[in-house]
Amino acid sequence: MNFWEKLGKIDRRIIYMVLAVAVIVPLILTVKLPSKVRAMPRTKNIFDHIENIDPNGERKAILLSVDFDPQTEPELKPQLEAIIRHAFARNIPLMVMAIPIQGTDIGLEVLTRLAEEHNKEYGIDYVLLGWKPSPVAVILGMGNFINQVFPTDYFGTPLSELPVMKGIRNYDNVGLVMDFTGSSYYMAWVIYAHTPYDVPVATGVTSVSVADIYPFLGSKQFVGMLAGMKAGAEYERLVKDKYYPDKDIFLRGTQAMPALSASLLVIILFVIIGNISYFATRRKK
Amino acid sequence: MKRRIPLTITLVLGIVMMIQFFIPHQFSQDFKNTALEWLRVMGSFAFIIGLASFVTHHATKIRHKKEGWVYSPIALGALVVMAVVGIIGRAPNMNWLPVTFQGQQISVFTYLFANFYNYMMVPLGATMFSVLAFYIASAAYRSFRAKSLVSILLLVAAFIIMLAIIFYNVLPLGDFGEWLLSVPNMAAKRGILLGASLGGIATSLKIILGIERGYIGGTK
Repeated sequence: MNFWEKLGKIDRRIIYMVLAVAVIVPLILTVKLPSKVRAMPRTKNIFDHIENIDPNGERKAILLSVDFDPQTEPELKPQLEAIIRHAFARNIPLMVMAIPIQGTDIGLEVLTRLAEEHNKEYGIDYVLLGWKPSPVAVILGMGNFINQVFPTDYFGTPLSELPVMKGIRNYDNVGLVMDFTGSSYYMAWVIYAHTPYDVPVATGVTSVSVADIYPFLGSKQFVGMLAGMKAGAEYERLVKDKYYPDKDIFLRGTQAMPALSASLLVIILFVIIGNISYFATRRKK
Repeated sequence: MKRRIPLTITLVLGIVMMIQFFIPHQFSQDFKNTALEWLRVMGSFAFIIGLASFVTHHATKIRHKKEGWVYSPIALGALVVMAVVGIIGRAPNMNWLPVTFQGQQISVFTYLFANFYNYMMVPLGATMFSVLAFYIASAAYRSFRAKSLVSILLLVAAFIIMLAIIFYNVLPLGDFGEWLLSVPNMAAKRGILLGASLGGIATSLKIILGIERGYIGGTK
């Protein structure tokens, strides 16, 4: 086996090792990124939309659906945190729910931590609705009455007793529905919330789903899209630059971007090596 | 009769729900609300079917000592433990063995449920997904070869998208990646989506009209 053939048959353990180093080293060294980040239009559209929800005019809430599980948490949690920070910064009433049950615990953890950081109070500034089975029935039902689908919050308190829910009956009182998902729940929100009730809907998805969302962005059925960890990092910077320029806050997506970039560079490098070997050995044959 | 009744229910409700969508009358809205409540109740029953299927699958595996059966008792045990602490912990006025968690007094069952989730399910799930990155890197190296015009196009597009993520502050690259996604990708995806949607409508009509009977176990 000559050099070019060997180049095409690198042991997979070496690939694993190089990739592991590429991910771990930037995380340990906490590589600094440029302070100003340019957000993609699909990210900026969501930011601008939330900026235009007026908490002092017609009272409108933001509904977040945490439809992901721990597997996709690294990509979607930075997005969720950035949107919650934005809602808290603008004093917009926040409702958080989940379609798969795993989302409630993720939502509870993030809400509890960020509410403490921003001095927000449960029941007054935000509420965790919990989860209910049957996505179609839940999404359609909330268009009529939210408290018909969720008579109580996650902790069993009737929604009518929570000040945050004052004046919020259905999608008419919702300024934005934002679905965070590692699967295709976003389709259900477009079909059963946006189409019949005309409520603005946006989504935060993993990088692998991005290509599937574009037809809905093109038709303006989604206000915008947060695509993977990169969009989480972009949104974090938008919120920090506008509302917390001098505050030292942990930006989860921004911190993880160097590790993601390094891992993608490693993949590109190995694909190039594989192709060099392919062409070198093919010519010989 | 066993087949005629579900077929009739499907036909009648399928047509009624279609017509209902176009009638903005209170009676029509009330009917829709009732149907949605029924749907939520039936959705809950799906969990019982899922649970029965899960238990039967693993019990059979253990009984016949099929490959990998040693993991089945662990799966069943985890199911029982999580269900028990979850159900007891969520019972009304549950305050047995109170512990302080995140500044709140909660039952030890709720505390255990939160910890099992946060310190077992979260890292296990994250680990499983993280392993994929290594397989993808290895698979890309072995199979992503510029063998034909189509594969060259795929390779170039993938490189541009990945580089756009890596250098996401470098404007032209990000914009070109965005163009790839919002023009050629969107055109292809729209075609696929329209085709799939038309197929979905055709299948729905076949189910409503009783031509497609797979959901009741056959075509006879």
